[in-house]
Parts: sequence; structure tokens; C-alpha cells
Amino acid sequence: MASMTVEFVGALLDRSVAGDPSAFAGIVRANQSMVYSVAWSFLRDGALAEELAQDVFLELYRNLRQIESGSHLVSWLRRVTVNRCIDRVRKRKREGLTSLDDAPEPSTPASHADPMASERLRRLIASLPERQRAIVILRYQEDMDPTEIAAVLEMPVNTVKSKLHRALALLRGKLERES
Amino acid sequence: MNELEDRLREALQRREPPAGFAERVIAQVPSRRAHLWTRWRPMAAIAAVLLVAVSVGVFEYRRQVERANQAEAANRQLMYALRLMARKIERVQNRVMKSSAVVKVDREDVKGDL
Repeated sequence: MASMTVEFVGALLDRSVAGDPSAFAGIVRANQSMVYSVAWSFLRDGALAEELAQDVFLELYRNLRQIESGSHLVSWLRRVTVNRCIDRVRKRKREGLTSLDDAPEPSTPASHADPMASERLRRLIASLPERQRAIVILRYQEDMDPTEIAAVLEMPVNTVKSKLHRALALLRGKLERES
Repeated sequence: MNELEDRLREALQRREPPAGFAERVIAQVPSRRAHLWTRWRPMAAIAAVLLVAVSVGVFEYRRQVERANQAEAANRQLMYALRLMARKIERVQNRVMKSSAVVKVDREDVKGDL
């Protein structure tokens, strides 16, 4: 299924580079959920996530000719989205703005067995350091293994593993303290 | 660990962006002509700078060559003038030497008469 999507995106990429404007719209539609979800999980703000996701796709359009394949395009989108999220969070910290953990939920929440518990967990994820947060989101939202995460975040696999381990320990500790 | 991971997967499910997201992105994509211009603009700027640099270089080179030619011509003229002058000096010197020999002979004649 995933490889089918990658092949489909690769075909859209070829058409888009050749000058077919509808193909780029297809690329956006095929990847909008992934980009928006990563941004939303990171920032916990619907408006900010949409703005950031739009910027990511516009940057993709400007760099379309440098993208070599469908899989390269997907990993490029993940990397740029995560890096932009990290930059945005750091900028907000520098500006001393209120934590996004307090931001309201968007109007289209995903379905959950226990919405309260999931919301508490998302709030805890948002309190993790930026890199750990990125790793947790890519691991459990995008279902990527540490090797793939390491490639996207351009860091050693062992660093990804240790950060993931630390993030899980931190989350478990916080959950135990809260309960 | 597994329970926490399951809960994380549950909490981090993908969500769809607000309706019309793709259309809003496409609306911001510049037209193909503008995009092409944006792509070629740096190359056009580099080409223009190169053209100006080459033109200035050629102009400067031709000016240098012209100056060198002028200097060489001036040098040739000077050498010619010096050669002319040397020849004239030589002639004058010869005449002076001849006339001094005649004066010497005349003096010896006068001594003999006495």
C-alpha cells in the first residue's frame, strides 16, 4: 500500500516537473494529511499547522526539480516539516509566547477510544524537547523505524534510539505521576 | 512499554487538514511563466554580469594593445632620430679632423720658409 502511494507520488512528480499543474495538486492531496498531522502533533494549533503545511508545499514546489523520486519526495516533506516545526517552536520560545500546550483542540478531532487519555498524552508529547518530540511523532504517527527516522532527521540511528528510549521513559514517568 | 506505545499510536492518529487545504496551496503557487522566470532569473543575472565583464575585458585589452603600438611607434621614431643625429655628428667630426690636418701642414710650411 505504502509502495503504491510512493509510486503514485513518483508518477505525479514526473508529470508535475513536466509542467502539468494538476499533478502538483495531486501531490498536495496525496501528502496533505501526513504534513498537516506532523505539524499539528508538533504545534498543537490548527491554524499554525495549516500555515506551516502550506509553506512546506510551496517550498516543495520551488524545489520540485531537485526531487528524484516518490520516496525522496515523501522523506523530503517529512524532513522539511519537522525542521520547520522545530524552528517554529524555538522561535516561539525566544519570543516568550504562551506554550502551545494550552491551545484549543481543532474542530475535527480524530476518533479515539478514550479522548481524555489521548489528549493528556498529546499534551505530554508536546512538552517533550523538540528532537524527542519529532522522533516520537515520526515513530508512532508515521510508523517509521529508527533507521528511517535517522535518515529524515539526519542523525545517527543510535542517537534516535536513545532519544526515543528517553522520551518514552519521560512520558511513562509523567503519566505515572499524573495518575 | 507495549501499552504505552499502543496509546501513543492511538493519540497520534493522522488527521485531515481543514477542507479546501489543497486549493489554498495551489492558489499560492506562482504561474508557470513566473516560475520559469524565477528559475532563470539568477542565470540571466550571471550571464549579464559575465557579458559586461567580458566586454570590459575586451575593451581594456584593445586599449592596452593600442597603447603598446603607440609606444613602439614612438620608440622607433626616437631611434631613427638618434641614428640621424649620430650620422650628422660623425660627418661634422670628419670635417673637423680634415680641416685640422690642413692647418698643421700650413704651419710646417711656414717653419721651412723661416
